[in-house]
Amino acid sequence: MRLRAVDVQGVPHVSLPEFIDQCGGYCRVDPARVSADLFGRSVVVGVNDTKVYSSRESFALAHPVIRHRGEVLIAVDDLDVLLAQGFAARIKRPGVVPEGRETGQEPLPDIPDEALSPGRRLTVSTESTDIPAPEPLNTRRVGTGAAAIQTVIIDPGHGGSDPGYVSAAGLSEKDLSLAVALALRRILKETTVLKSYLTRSDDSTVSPRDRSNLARRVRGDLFVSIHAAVSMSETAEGFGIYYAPSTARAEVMSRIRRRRPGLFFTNTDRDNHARSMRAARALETSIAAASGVSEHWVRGVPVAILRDAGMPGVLVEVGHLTNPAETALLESRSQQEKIARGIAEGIAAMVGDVAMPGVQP
Amino acid sequence: MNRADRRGILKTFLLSLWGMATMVLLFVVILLVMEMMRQGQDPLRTLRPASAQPATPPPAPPLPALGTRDVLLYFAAKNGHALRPERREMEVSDSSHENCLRALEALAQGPGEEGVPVMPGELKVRALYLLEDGEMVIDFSRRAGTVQRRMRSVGIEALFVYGVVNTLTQSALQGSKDPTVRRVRFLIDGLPPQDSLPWHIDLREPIAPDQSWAEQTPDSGAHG
Repeated sequence: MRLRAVDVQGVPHVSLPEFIDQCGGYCRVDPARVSADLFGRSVVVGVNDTKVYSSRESFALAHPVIRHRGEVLIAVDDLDVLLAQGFAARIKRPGVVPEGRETGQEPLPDIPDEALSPGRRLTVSTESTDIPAPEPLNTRRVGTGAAAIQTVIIDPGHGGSDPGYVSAAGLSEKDLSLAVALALRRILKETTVLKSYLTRSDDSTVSPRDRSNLARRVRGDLFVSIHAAVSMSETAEGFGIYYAPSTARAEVMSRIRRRRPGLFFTNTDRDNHARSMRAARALETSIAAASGVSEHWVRGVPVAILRDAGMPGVLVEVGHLTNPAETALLESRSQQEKIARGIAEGIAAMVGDVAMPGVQP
Repeated sequence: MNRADRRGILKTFLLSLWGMATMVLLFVVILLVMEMMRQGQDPLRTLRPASAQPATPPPAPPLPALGTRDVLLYFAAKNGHALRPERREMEVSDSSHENCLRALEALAQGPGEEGVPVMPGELKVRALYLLEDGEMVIDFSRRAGTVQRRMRSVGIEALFVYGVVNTLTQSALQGSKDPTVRRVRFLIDGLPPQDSLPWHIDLREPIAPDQSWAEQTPDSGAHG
C-alpha cells in the first residue's frame, strides 16, 4: 500500500478515499461528507469536521477532515482512531516517515488478511510543506444535475464464456470492450479525481445482475457500458450511443406531478433519463472529436443493463465488428486509446467546472 | 382475571387485528398503484368518476372493409443505424390482427433492393394476439440450431424491435373490428425473451413505436 502524504499547516494528511480504497473498502465523496465502507462497517465523516458517525458509535478525530485541491484528506495521526473505532481494525504503525523519505516496510498485521494481499505495505511519503489552508466548503461551487458525478461505473460488455460478437478477423467484442474500458479507467485516474469502478477487469464471466448490483452497491453516478456494434450490412460503420428512455412509470409520475405538484418529491427514472440523454450527447461530441469517426448517432433504447443499474447511464458501441476496415482500425491500440480518451473527455465535460476541482474538462 | 380485564384484552386483540388488516390492505393498495404505474396507467385518473372520462374513444376514420392499401414496412437502412420505410401495396381487411400478421410475413420475407432485413433468421412467428387495450403480443419461436449464429448488439436488436413495432402500429394496418395497436410485447416460445436468450434490450415490457429510428424517405410520408 502506497499513500502520498501532504503537509497542511504542519500536519501530515493522506487522501481518505485512497486510504479506504487501498484497505479494500469503498468510499463515496459528497460535497459535505464522505461515506466509507470497510470490513462490513460503514462510517460517515463530515468534511471540515472532526465528527465521525458510525452505526455503532460516534466519535471525534483530533484533526478535521479537510478538502484540499479536490481531494478529501485525513490527518495521518487520525488513521488509527478511524480504523479502531470506525472499523474495528488497527494499524500497528501508520507509516509516517520523515519528510522526503519512504519507508513502510512494516506489515499491517491487524488489517484482515482478505483486505491486503501478502506483501502489501503501507508506505506514506511526504510532499510539499508549503501548502495554504484549504478553502472553506461554502465558497466552493457544488455540482448539480448532470454535473454531480463523482463515481463512474465502467462496464466492459460480455466476457468469459460470453465473447459477444467475434469478427471474421477474430477480434471478439469482449476483448475490445475490455481494452477500451481499461484504457478509460487509466485515463480517468490520471486526469481526473473521479472514482471509477470496473464491472470486470479481466476475461471473466459477470452476469448482468452482478454488474448492476455492483453499480448500485458503490452508488455510482454514471454507468458507462462499452460494447461493439454489429450489422447485417457489411458497409455499416461508426459508433453509436444509447440511453434508456423514460419508463412508463416515470411518465405517469411526471403527468401526476404536473397535475398535483408536491405529490411526488422525486422522479428518479425521469431524472436519470434526462441526465443519460445529456451524457450521451456529451460523449457523442467528445468521442467524434477524439477518434475522428464521422458516422455516429445517439438513440433512446430501453437497454436492460442501463435500466437495472438505476442511475444515469449510456451504452457506447465503439464501432462495427462486421465491417472489415473498421475492425482493423478497432484492433489497433491507438484507436482504442482515442475512443477511451473521447469517453473520458465527455465525462469530464459533463462534470465541467463544478464540484470536483482537478477534473480537466 | 376479572371480566373487565378480559374485555380489555379482547379489545386490544381486536384493535391489533384491525390494525394489521388495515396495514395489509394498505400494502395491497400500494402494490396495485405501483403495478398500474408500471404499466403506464394513471391511478388518479382511474379513481375519477366515469363521467369525467370521455365516454368513448374518438371515432376511427372510416375504413374500407376490404381492399388494398399502401403500407410501410420498416427495414434497416444500409448505414446500419436507422430504419428505412419501404412502401408496399397490401391486401387489408377489417381485422388489425390479420393485417399485422400479413405485415409480419412481408417483413420476414425481406426488403427490396435498398434495405437490409430486420427480422433475425433464427425467429419465426408462432402466434399473434391483440389485447383489448391495444397491446399486440407476438410470440416467436426459435429455429433449432440458429443460436450460435445469432448476431447481437443494441443496434441490431433495436432495428428488429422498432422495425416490427413501427410497422405494426401504423394506421394503415388498423381495422375497425379490432382495437388500435398501440404497443407490442415480444415473447419467445411463450416467455419474455430475456428468459430464453440474453438480449441487450429490455423486452420485459411492451414497446411503443419510435419514429426517431426512421430515415426520412419519399415513402415515409405515406402513413405513420
